[in-house]
Amino acid sequence: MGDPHAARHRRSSPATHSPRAHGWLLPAWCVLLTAVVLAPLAAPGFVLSYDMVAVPDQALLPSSVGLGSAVPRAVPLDAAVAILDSVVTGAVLQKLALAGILLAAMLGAGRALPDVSTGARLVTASVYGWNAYVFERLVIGHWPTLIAYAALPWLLMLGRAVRRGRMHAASAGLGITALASLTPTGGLLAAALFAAIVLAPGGRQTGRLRTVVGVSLVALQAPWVVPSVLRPDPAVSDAAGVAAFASQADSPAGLVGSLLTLGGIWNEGAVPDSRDLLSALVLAAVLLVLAAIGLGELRRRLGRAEFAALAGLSVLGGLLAVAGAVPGTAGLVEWLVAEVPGGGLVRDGQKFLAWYALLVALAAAVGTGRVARALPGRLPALAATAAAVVLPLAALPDLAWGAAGRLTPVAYPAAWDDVRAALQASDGDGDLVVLPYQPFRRFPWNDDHTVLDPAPRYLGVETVVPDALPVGGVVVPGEDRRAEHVGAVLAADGDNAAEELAAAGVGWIAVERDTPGELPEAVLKAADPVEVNGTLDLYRLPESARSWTRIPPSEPVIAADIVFLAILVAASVDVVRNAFLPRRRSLRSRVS
Amino acid sequence: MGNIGGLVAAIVGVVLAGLTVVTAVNVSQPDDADDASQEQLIDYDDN
Repeated sequence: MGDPHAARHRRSSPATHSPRAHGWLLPAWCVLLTAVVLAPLAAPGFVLSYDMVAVPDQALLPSSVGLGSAVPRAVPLDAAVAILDSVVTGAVLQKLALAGILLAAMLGAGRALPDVSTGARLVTASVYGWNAYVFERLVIGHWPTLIAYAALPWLLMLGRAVRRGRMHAASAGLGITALASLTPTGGLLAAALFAAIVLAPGGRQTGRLRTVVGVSLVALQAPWVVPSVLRPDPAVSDAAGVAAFASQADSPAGLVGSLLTLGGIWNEGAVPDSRDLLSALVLAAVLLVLAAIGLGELRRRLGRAEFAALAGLSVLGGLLAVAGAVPGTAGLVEWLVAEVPGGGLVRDGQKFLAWYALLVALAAAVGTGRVARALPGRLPALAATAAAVVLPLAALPDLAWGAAGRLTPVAYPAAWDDVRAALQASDGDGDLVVLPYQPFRRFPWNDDHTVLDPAPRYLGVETVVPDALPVGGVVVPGEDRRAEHVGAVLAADGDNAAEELAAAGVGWIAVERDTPGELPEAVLKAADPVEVNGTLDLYRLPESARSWTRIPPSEPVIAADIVFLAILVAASVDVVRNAFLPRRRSLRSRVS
Repeated sequence: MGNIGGLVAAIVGVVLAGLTVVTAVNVSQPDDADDASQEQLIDYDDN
């Protein structure tokens, strides 16, 4: 089954000798890079950065599976975290997840190319694990998107195996896609790649397998699709979000140059400082040149279908990244977001560069091999390969040490535990509202970093969460009509606010005293203090709260979760069974 | 031909090393004090 093309290169390049002899180098390099990025996370505590929120013990609530008034953006992720942090603490779970993501991404990328040298594998791992996309998505806290990012190279390999007739690889692919599908964006990124490779014409996979894989990939998205479709309010977003979350130039290379070098996120606060430097841009551009040199050979190595799937998705991702930022196409994206249910997923299009990142990493490794082979002698070839391995680090030195200190664990104030205990001990009804009524916080104990309010996850009760997002001075309206109504009642701060809040299903109010924001004084005056400590105070509304029923119907939502779990369990069982099957066969043949 | 290739590679290597040093030195310069905004409404894009 060996690739004669690859074999020819193996003979001709000194940098490609005996890859198996150096098999330990790739995992060691990946572990080293992961440690360099995440070293500060060895300290106790929780990393709280923009959307990255971790709490000691997240509760499994109806809203964890989408049975709430909000759009299910973190579904079924919240349910998975709630279950897993019963096994290990929330802090350990967060650190294991981040380390696992980086390690899996680099290791997968390093193994994704068949028949290449250890040097090429190290280049792929470095480029894929150490780039602006990883930095920006880590800092903004989109770690679920990075789960899908880490899954992509593995799905590429498993899709290849399926096409070569190894039908059981489909189970592993579906299992990995299930993990990536814990959020809508992750599901789209992973399912699209696996589907594109497995369903493409050609290959040895049967028609039945194609059908099973295709249907399963769609069914894995059911936990977030079903509550989105069945919620009483439409799952469309405001068009203002397109401009607010449009890709931006984050380097001297402009918008297209920033995106080509895997940056360009809309949030300036998530951009590494080094992106401003011309020297860093030149180094990143050298990686692109290597990728351009390697693209043709990569096409031959991957084969037509596999390359077409990855390159096609890369082009699609690039178009999605650009579309919201260009006047000619922004209108189309606005229409999609405002009129098509679920269309909001295409805003923040820079996240779809994940496919392109894999293409660049693979092509840069192949390009490095071509350059190394062109150099006279073994030493220059080795030097060129070694330079390419460390080039991503040179171009983005501030990813080291927790993204230059931006990812640093902190401890919650003790008062948060007291309020959680008071809520758990109470028998009052109604959901919680956390004040100040806005989505983000800036706590002094978190170094004043902007972070999504952790209280709804920390306090373990259903919470009405404001989803209107202030972005660049503009407030992008949310999709949760109940949250909007509660916000209007709190803003009015009238005499009958308590009754109106109770009618909206609110029974509790928590007040975070150490973050900016306005407080409705009349509402708080009418409420009964339960736990007042000056850091996080808890109040009970005097009115009896009605239960809120404008949520998706529970039966189809739970059925969707059961389908998801059934596919995950069946795929896992098949993977384990096949991992042991060859061993059993081998033992049997030895006995006979 | 081989010598020219080696010479070009060496020059590229030196340039890349120089760019690496320049990037590392500049990125490690201490930033201006990151004063937290006093705005009451906290912006998702806080820069």
